[in-house]
Amino acid sequence: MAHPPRKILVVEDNKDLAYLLNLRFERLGWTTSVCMDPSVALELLAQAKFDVLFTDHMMPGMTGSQLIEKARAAGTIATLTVIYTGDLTVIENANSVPEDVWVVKKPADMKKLSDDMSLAIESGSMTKVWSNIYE
Amino acid sequence: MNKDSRQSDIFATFFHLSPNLSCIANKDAVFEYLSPNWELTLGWSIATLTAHPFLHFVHKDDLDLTQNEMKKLGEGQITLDFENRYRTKSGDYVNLCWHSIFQQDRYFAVAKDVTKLRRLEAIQDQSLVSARLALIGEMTCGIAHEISTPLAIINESIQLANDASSPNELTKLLKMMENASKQMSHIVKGMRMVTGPATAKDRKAISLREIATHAESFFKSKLNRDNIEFKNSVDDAVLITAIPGDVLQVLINLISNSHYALSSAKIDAKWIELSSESKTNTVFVKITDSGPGIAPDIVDKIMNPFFTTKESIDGVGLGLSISKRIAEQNKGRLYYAKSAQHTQFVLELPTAPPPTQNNEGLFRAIEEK
Repeated sequence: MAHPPRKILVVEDNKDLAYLLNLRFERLGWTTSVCMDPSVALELLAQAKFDVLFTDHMMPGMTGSQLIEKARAAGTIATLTVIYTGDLTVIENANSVPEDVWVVKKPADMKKLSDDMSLAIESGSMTKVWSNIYE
Repeated sequence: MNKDSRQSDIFATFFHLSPNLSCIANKDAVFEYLSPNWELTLGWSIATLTAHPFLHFVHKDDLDLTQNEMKKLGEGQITLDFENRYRTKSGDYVNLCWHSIFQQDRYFAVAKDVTKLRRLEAIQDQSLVSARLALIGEMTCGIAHEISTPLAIINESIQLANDASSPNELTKLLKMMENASKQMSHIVKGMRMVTGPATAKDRKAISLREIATHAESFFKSKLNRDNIEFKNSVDDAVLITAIPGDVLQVLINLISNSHYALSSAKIDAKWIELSSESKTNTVFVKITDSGPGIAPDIVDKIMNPFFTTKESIDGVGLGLSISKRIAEQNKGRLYYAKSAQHTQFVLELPTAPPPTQNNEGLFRAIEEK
């Protein structure tokens, strides 16, 4: 399914996975920014509007949830936010995060996930999806 | 009063004063003299106890061992710290620890009632099992998390490798898969260490650094998240003789305490350091954190079972007492270093001889096994 290119910010503290996510989204033709430090991600969010904030959860100094909370408070949040994590606590409590935050379990079928992210932005409906559909 | 009678009186006084169970039995193993504590401890009257050979009161599972010990006594050996169980009038059993000698056709013996001590040890052993199971449970949750990132790397690399734009890119993707696979092996190895055998016969020579690295991996992401630096300066060359899972459990318990204390501490520099110092046949593993230390009024209680400074939901206080017992079971010691500048615990363990050309193969064989 072809979708218009999106602008995505990937926040991942594992350099190999950060590289792979960058490669994945660039191959889809998306404008991709990658950073490994969530506090730098806050600055990037303040500088430009992103379609997607795609973030790990357990990171130095700030969790993915805290990053989303801070960006939301600053009014710099992306249109769609995705927490990409293996943290079972976050996955089990996915109900408690806001409706427009997707919690996706690592590893995921990134092809399907990126299609769905693009479709959600296109339709303007960010309704939460469940992580297990990407396993 | 003649001399013999005076000596007899003195002897009787001592016999009655002893807090232990003193006795003299004839060569047919029938008690002739018993101190009053026998009645108090077993509930049987002295008349009943002297009416049967003492084997009549011994637990049936301990009869062979007891008869064997009697045989040794008959051959002129001395019994030191031999234990068996005696039946009480109410049908329970008490554990008695004996010092005995056979002289002039008589058994002279003193027994100490160690029932409470053995029960306490049994409870502590059960606590060790429970603590190990709790750790396995916690590690299982942690592993699901830790393994997810290398798994995602492998998954994503495979998919992207299908459309690799150049041989260089393909090589890079393969290298990432290899690293991720190594990381997963390391995680599984750490888990095996904790779920592996944990009896005295499983003590073996192992690298202290390797165990410390597994402990570090277990906490890495949690410490990163809480801005706590982890320094692992354990000497690469140190080999210890211990049950690997036991040492890992103690390190995890201590790092977990440091993590808990630092998480709520109002200090700028938060760090935990694992270091080691070797002296003759012993290594001193130091677990230090940048906290201010333990308050003097509680420092002497921290190793007691069920003592805790945590909120009830965070711990039941068995960590340090269990860690201390695990250290002792591995012929080591665990203590708080009161004079250290920061919060520091020291785990002393016996070192293993360094591998030589002669025993290197043996170490490798043990490791592979």
